[in-house]
Amino acid sequence: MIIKSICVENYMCYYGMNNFEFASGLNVILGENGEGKTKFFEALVWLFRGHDHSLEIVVSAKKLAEVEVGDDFPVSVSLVVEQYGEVRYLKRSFIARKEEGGDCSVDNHSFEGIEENRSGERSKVDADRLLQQVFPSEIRKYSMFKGESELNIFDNEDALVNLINLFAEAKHYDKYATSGASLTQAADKAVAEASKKSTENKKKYDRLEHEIAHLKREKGRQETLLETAQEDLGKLEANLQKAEKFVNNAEALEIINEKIENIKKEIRDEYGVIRENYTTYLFDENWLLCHYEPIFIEFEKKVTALNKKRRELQSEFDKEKGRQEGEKNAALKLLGDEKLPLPNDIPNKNIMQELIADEHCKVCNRPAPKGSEAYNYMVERLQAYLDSQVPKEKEQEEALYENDYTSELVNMLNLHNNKLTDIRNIGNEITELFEFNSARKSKVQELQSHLEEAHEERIKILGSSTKGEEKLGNVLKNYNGWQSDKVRSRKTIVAYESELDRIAKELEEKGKEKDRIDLESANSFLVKTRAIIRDIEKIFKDTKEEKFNLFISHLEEQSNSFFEEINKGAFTGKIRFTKRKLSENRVKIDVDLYEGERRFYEPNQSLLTSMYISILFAISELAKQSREEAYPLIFDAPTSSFGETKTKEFLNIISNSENQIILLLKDFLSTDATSDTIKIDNEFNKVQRSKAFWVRLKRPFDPNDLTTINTEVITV
Amino acid sequence: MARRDDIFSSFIQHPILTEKYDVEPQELEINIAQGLQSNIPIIRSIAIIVDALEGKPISDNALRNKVTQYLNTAAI
Repeated sequence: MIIKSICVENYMCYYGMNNFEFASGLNVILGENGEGKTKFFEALVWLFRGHDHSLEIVVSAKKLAEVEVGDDFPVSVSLVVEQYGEVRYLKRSFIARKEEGGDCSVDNHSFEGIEENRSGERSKVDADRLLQQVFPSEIRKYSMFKGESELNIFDNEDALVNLINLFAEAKHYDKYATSGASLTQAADKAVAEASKKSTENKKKYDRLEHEIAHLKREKGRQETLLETAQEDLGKLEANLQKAEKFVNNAEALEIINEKIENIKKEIRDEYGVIRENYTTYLFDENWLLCHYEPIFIEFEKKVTALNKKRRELQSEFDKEKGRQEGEKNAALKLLGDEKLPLPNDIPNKNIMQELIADEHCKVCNRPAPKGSEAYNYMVERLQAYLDSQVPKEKEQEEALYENDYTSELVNMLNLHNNKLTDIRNIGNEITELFEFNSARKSKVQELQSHLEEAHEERIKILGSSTKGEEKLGNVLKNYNGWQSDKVRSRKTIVAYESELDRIAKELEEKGKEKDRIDLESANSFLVKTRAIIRDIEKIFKDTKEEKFNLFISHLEEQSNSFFEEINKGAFTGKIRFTKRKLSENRVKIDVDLYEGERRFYEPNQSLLTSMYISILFAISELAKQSREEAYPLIFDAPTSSFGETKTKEFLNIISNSENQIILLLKDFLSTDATSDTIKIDNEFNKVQRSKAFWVRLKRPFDPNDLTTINTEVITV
Repeated sequence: MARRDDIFSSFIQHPILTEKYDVEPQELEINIAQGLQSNIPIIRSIAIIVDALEGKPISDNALRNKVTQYLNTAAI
């Protein structure tokens, strides 16, 4: 079936009659957001399904504003299709009437169907039946999609059942699996009843049945635990995969943060060793003496000269004094140059007094009468002795210099001379310190530059991540934790699987034990019948499973074939359909992308969209194969996440499809800078298509006034 | 090929028939009408079930009776 044309009349933004003539292959309807694309899609949905809202809301406001009160006009959406070479018409319509106050009333809502045979004869038919004939609702479910979010049909648990019912052979095998189980149950019951006729067997049977029931319960419990553990592992793997996108950033952030801290510490260390308290060093470190040496030399010269002069003067003074002393000593010389006089107390005072009193010198034993030279000498010597015993005021010695400042200066000179080496080194110290500080400052500058670079790098890391810094830190912590949990989870799964194996073996043993009892006691016909029935049930179950898997594998193969084509040249992975048992009779299909055995938990939207579209194309192909008829695919903005280039490639690929495809897109339109009008990009010329339309609001219009809104349809 | 033949044919392709019942491969190239005449009890039983389930609606009991009745006469 292909849609030949759709006519939208006075429906919402579509004022008057608006006709879209479609062709087989790819039909593109371009339009900016809010200019009529989605309203077209909704008009089609309304044609097919009607809706629960009141009809007044779909009436064109512009048309209503134009007519007089009491006037009426038609609102309709009609469709012309061609099926097996015959034309079919479907039209949903009503009459809108303008009431007082600008209100609107509606009347004559109808859904009409007309068949036209090859000879051109037309006949009115039931529209619902005709619609079901030309475009069955179960097919429409997989043929019409609005936006990207609706494309994952397997979000709906019933989708698989619907698909199987629609297209798969597997649907015919359901009843066999059910009947097989029912036959086996009855056969088991018959055998058990026969075996239990013996009391002893009944006891054994009851015990075995009790044990089997217990094992089955345990099996169920272990299966639930296993399923939960597998789900947990799936969540962990999903989390890890999500985290992997950030973990590199998180690690990089940790490294860069550490680097920043190290640089900051180095800067602090460099600043710590810089000594710049130069004013203090002027005094404390004697820097003031840096240029002291010439002053000292001058000082040295002057002190040396002064010292020399002082010594000369002192020498002369000393000579003079010596001369005077010499004279004094000469006067004292009584005994000749070589003979020294005896001390004053020899002979002592008493002897001397005795000699004087005796007027006789008993030392030389000569008389010394009073008044004689010898007598007078003895009196003088006694008097000299007596005088010497009287304490005398010390004779003030005359000195040339009262204070010896010159010596102090000389001492100071010597002292400074000793320090001169140190002083000479001060210049070097200052130079070295300045060089050292300058080198530290250069190093700090270099480090500051590294710090800036590190900060920039950090900003880049944070900027390229949608997570904040704190969250990135958490991601890293969680990531490491999840890795450990994953290992634990796998071990748990292995443990549950091993326990399930053990239970299965035990169940098998118990079953065999029961069978042995049956063989010994039950009627041989019943046992043989049950054996055949059991095998028949197995055949039914396995065949149903095989048909189901065949369908899924076929769908998977077809989907991957489209998927590869849509993403030609790009890395995509493979679409994999995984069957998940929800309960004994309920199965859900999980559709995921895999790279080898690794599942993508977070594929980007563009990849997801192309995956879902591929599946829909595959379903469309299945529909064509199973019904020997192709149906159109109608998508409203399915490729929003693709971007214009990928959309162009996508359109060129699907344009080769034999199916009719109607796509509503907002791509390939841009505003002309000079005229400020919207235009179709030249890129659209490179898109292979059968037909193209541009729906746009007729200018000028007031966005706040619906009565000015009128979408015009331009065939491109 | 009618659907019932398709279904019957799918069932008798199951390996259990050759492995456990020693059915020769050429004995498997039959349609449902031939299956209903087969001397191999499991094949004939399957044919009876397919014939019944692809015809008018039938209860589980009635189906079971049909199969056991045949197996009884087949003197397995």
